[in-house]
Amino acid sequence: MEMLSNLAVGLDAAISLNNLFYCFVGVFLGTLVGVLPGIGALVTISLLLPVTFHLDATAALVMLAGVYYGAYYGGSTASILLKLPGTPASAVVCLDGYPMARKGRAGVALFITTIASFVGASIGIIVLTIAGPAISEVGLKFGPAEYFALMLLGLVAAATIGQGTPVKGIAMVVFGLLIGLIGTDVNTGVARFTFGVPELMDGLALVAVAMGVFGVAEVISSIDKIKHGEFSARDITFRSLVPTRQDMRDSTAPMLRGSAIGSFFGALPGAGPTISSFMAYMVEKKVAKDPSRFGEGAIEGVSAPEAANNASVQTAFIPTLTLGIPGDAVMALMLGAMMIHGIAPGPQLMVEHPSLFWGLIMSFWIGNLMLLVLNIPMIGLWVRILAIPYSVLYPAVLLFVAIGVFSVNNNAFDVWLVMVCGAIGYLLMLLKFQVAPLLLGLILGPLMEEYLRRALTISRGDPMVFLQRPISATVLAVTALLLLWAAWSTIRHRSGLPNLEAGPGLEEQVGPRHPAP
Amino acid sequence: MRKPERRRLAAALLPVAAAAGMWVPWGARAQAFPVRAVRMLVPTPPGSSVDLGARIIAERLRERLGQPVVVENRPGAGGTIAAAEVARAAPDGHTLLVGFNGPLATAGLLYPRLTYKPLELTPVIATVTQPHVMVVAGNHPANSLREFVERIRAEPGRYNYASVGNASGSHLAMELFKSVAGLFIVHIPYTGGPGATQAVMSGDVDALFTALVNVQGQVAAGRLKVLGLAERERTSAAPGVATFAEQGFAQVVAPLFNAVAAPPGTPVEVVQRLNGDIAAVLAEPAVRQRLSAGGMEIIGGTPAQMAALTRAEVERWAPVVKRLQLTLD
Repeated sequence: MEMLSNLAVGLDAAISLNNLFYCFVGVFLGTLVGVLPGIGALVTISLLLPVTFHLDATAALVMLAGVYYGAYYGGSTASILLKLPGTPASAVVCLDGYPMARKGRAGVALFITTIASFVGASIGIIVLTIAGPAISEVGLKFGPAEYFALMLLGLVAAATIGQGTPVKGIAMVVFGLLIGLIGTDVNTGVARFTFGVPELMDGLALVAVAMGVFGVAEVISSIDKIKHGEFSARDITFRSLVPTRQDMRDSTAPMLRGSAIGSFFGALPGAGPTISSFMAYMVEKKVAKDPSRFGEGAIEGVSAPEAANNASVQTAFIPTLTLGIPGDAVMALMLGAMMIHGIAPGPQLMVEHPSLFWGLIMSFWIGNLMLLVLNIPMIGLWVRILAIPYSVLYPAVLLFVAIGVFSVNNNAFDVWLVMVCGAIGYLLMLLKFQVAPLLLGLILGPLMEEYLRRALTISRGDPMVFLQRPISATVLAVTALLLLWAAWSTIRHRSGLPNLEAGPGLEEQVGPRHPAP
Repeated sequence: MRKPERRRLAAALLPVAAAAGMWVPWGARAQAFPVRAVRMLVPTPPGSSVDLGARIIAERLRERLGQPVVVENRPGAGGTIAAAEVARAAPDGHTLLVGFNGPLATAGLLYPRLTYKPLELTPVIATVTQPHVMVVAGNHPANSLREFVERIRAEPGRYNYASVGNASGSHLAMELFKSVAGLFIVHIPYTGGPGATQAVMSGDVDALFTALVNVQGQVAAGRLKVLGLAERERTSAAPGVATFAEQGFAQVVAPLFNAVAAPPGTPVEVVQRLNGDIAAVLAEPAVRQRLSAGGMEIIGGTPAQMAALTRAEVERWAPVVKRLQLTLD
């Protein structure tokens, strides 16, 4: 009953004309910047911050939050159409979204990501509403040992993410871990492999690496294919945009699994959407009857990670709103906006400012409905981007990449970095290495090292800490089982290995293919 | 390099020229400020308290300067990337740094390969300070610094403290306290305030130095408690919190301040203009209210006062950095 009255208070605040307007402004801007690669929610929100000084606190937060989750709706658009991940989280969607687009199913992929986003976000909001405070207490039980165990689980699963031989996958994970070492050692402050370049002291910018190894590499490899017009606008009818009954059936369970994974990781401060979407993808690949479809346009490879990152974006509000612990930089900015309005974020927020707290949560529903309505008609428009001749499209893409990556740190160094990563990505593409495991290694490596060393410093070097803490021990046991399972299935399917051999060559990928039955 | 030298020469010649009643075109050009947008480089990411303060000031400063004031975040390398860029910029007042203790003072002690000298940046004005406090978990047995010290001393090396990062103000402050109180407590560096705060709340570590504003909500909810304030005087933001000095640790003063600096060799007139305008912005009631809501207390004052502040900062931390052998390269 109390829940209902809380929701009523929230709804009352959220549907005031003023808040509806700012919610719309927020999600609209969010969608827009989400589509532009690299220009993320953080830059947008920081530019909007001075505007919010003149709004009341609820309207300000409703708008800023709208930008944040709105950006994740649009985030996958460039990944699907151009293999250009605007955020590291949407890099996962490149893996199967882009092959779908190559097969003339771009519209379907975009449609399903919108639906998956909505489903993921809705589940995230439900979790946030019902169990927010309880979950945040569980989140506090996650210390460095637990985080390390989770990251290790992710890393073990990472090698399986790409196509191709496991050896190549593992090699890429290790490569990612190695370049993840670049930067300042968190414990001692010593700069590692920076060669005196101050820009490297905080490590490689993830967005730059993601855009380089996926997007820019793809542009380079496409140069010699410019003459073939593989896509044409006339193919695009509303029918070709709408997923078939089979697509929807294939996506239902993955969306639900993705949402669950996303809701979990989102609620842990510092884990966030990127790890959620990678995890969701890896789970789908593990549970699939025919994992070889992944990387060639499997619809689960799009719907699960997309549901996961949108769910995690909603549950990321749990630690932020119930503990005052922001999970990422955007959340920190939102807490800043709250403080400017004289509201101290923290465990008391829900009690002291119920109309703000519940109003914000109810606005998430409204905002997500708006996003659904906003995004579906846009699909037809986005797909038309593919009708632009490559000679015009690709220079424009590179320009957007440069602008986007520059906007993150306002540093020209990152623009060079994205170009170097593009060249490396192209080389890896020629050698038939998958870049997704590299990215995951780069994301997880520094985090794992940080948590491992922190856990061991606190335990004064005793490695038993990982087994003595129940959550950590459980996760490690699951990791061990996964390893055993992988080893066992490799031995059992030794004859089936050729199926897992390197995916289709570049030439093969070009031609339009019939979608898998 | 040639241009700044010429300007400096011009600035040096200015009084002479003025006395002689001569027309000095260079001097006239140096005075032409502002003639275009002013860039404020912030060495921390958007949403950080330094960024918040800069944006609050920039929003009002543009009216007084009659030119756009653009806040640019250039985070990285402990704030020294932004500061080094400002140090390289033309000293005409159109490029400013909104810095904090690190890039404005202690970076000189910590980074041997720094391409600029923090104390050579031209001081403009110290803007705000944030009360720096030491917190422990709400259910921690110690209720005062004395009790905390006794507990740590009873089992040296058993307990841990978090900092928001290696060589941060949060780290240095605890090391200062450790040396003053003779404590052995192990440093666990985190990468930012939220992680460190969470670690104290969950009991992974015992204590943390952080800006009061970052933990106000948790303190109000009883999840954290403040044991001491590392400032000279009590703060109006939490009048009930005793300073370290009051509790017998007079040397533990570790202010967290933000200040505006210009490239080395910026002409005095430009500095005066900026100082006056920013001081006026800081005096506006709306600005005052927003800053204090963000946990920031206004400092203000003259460029000379800011210079004294950064010098004192270097003097305070040099021995601590030396004892810890903290060099980051």
